[in-house]
Amino acid sequence: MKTKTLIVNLEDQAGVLESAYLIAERVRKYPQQEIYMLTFKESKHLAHMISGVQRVFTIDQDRIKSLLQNDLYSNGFAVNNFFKNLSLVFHTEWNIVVNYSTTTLSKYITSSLTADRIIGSYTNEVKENNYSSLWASIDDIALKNKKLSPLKSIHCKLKANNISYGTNEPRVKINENNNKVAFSNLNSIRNAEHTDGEAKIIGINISSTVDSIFSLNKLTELLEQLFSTPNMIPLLIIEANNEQQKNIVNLLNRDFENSLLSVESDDLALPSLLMNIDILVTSDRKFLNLANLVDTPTISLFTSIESLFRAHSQNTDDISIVLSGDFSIYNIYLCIDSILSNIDLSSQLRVDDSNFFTIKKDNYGSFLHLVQGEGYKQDILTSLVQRYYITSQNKNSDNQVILEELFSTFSSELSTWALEQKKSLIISTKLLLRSLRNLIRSKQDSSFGSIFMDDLNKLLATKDKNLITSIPIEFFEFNLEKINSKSAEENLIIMEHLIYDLKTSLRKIMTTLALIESKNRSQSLNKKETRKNGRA
Amino acid sequence: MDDSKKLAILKAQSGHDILVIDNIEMHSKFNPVQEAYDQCLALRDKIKKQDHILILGIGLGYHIQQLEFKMREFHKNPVIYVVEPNEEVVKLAMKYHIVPQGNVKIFSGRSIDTYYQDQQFIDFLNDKPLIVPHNPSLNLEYTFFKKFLSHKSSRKLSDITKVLHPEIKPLFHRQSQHTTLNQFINDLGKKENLVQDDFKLLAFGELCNSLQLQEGQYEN
Repeated sequence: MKTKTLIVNLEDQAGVLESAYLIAERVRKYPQQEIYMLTFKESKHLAHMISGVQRVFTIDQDRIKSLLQNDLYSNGFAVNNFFKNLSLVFHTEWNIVVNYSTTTLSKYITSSLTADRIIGSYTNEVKENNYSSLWASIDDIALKNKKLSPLKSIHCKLKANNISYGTNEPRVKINENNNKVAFSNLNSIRNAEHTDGEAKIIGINISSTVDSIFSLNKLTELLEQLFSTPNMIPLLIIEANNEQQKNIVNLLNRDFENSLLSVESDDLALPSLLMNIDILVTSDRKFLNLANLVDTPTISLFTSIESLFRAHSQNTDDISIVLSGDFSIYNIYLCIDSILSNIDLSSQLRVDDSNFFTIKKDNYGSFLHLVQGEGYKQDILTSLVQRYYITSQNKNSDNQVILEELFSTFSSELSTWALEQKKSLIISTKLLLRSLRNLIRSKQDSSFGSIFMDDLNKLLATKDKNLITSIPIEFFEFNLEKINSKSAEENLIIMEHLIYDLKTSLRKIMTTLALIESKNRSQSLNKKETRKNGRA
Repeated sequence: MDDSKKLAILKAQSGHDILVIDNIEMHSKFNPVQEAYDQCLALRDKIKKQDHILILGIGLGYHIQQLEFKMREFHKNPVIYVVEPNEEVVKLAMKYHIVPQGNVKIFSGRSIDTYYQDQQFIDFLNDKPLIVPHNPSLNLEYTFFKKFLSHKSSRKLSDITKVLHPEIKPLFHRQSQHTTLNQFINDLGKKENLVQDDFKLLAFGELCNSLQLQEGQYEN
């Protein structure tokens, strides 16, 4: 008999698409399961596009909102609507419920279901967050609020599902007819008279690109550059029924004497279109995720380092750029050329204010490799060491890929960075020890209680800075908030234990820093030695 | 208000029957079909965009007949709801068979609350139908329609539970000491031991919190 698995995915549309990785792996690993998804109504068509999803349940939040907003209607109708949406989900006995999201809403829904097993986070009967595994807790506690998330959330979710990363299983359902049409149309563009049949089609998704990052002039500059390159054909991709985008294309076409190619596509036809172009330039997460799912190389554009770390590409062919200042369009062109011609990017780029990244992978998924850019080096370094710390803790073994990345990319910054981190680590440790002392004293003299609280708050405040210590402090805070014992004495004992646990974690971080520093030193010495021998 | 108005049927110049209420004609005394047709023609563009129409006032139904016919030009399954406070007028209109059958649903009665406690009616309204008044009916029943259109539903929990689906009602068994839905759900979250059903309501409350509603739409 097949097992019934429900994926509760209340993410945005891009997040719904990203869950295709998890579903593809679950289908491969557990073929005897039927996969159902619960999502918001606006993502229903995207959920249906994911391979392996057999049925989609939806919450119609727009309808519920309009029932609540209008004074004509009783709020009771919104309640009725919500329960009607979820009726089958509530009444089914699930074998497995995977809470893919980390929102309070998805935790409550997960907790309201009848399931043999829950994977991910949920709320227990005393309103505490519970986790099916360490990875589920890392996803919810350590990554959710991180400025530069050291791991992508999807990779934590895969680990929480005990599934290894990376598959060649089909992730989205491709409509055969759409595929034939896209293949034939795009091939006829490639084989047009002025090309030799080897032309590459550069899809440019302008859904938010023009508004948020590119000025129209910059886009024109990029199009001119592509037009002037033999065998590169730009194709503007417009979202179906989007008048604003159509107007932009019309405006651009005035400058290009109506020679620009554009295509209007709805979400259902988009996978076929993306599969049949050679590269996509986009600033839209939905487009990026869909291109990733069909393995089309991408150049993704971001305006902030935080959004890049949260939503970067998963494919190692791809390039991500955090645009800044008066960026050079020629660099974007070079990125396109580097992907199409398989040329090393680092030697090509001109210096500008932007930051350029390629994608690398370790056993835990993809991570960003800085190719050029000075603005965020310290933050990126911290994020990489946090990744090293999390992943090495988990398996009690070195994450060699990350060590290699640290030494090859940040060799010269590593010692200064480690010095700063050590300083803050010492401050945190001092605060911790003082807290511990005052906590013990407060058992005899309650006046020490307030000093203890002051130190504790100072310690907790350090988690907001992008420091290597922030992850264990996040966990510490989470566990502190869970303390709910009936007696004050018992609370103090639990608190004392948590402080000792944190002390152990901080000591491990100190060891990690020392290890990285010493390995970096020996790597540098080795390099010097090799150079010396070479000269001799 | 009672429904003791005097209803009469007269013949228009065109030979069609017309309804007269308290000496006020509900249709053109020359040609009620032509009148209804002209009204529909003026609404053509709006009808093209909208397959749901709410008609205020039934008369004998010429306007409904023409609207339904016009809607079929553009929509496969048009839906028409009619609100008529005077039940006697509805009975009479039904006898004359001018109102098309099938996709026209008539709601009648003077209790405004009854309309707004009907799930089907609310579902229809929530789809934002085109509202088309039958002007003679609107003028005759001005007070009723004014109240109908400016209705405000009670936010009291005791009133809210009246419209709940029977399967959901038992979840609100401890409602008496709470005044609003929001208060009830907030207090539920403070319970010492939450059970499966509690999480269903907590999930609803959390969804409401995430919808960025204006003050008073859920909170009070």
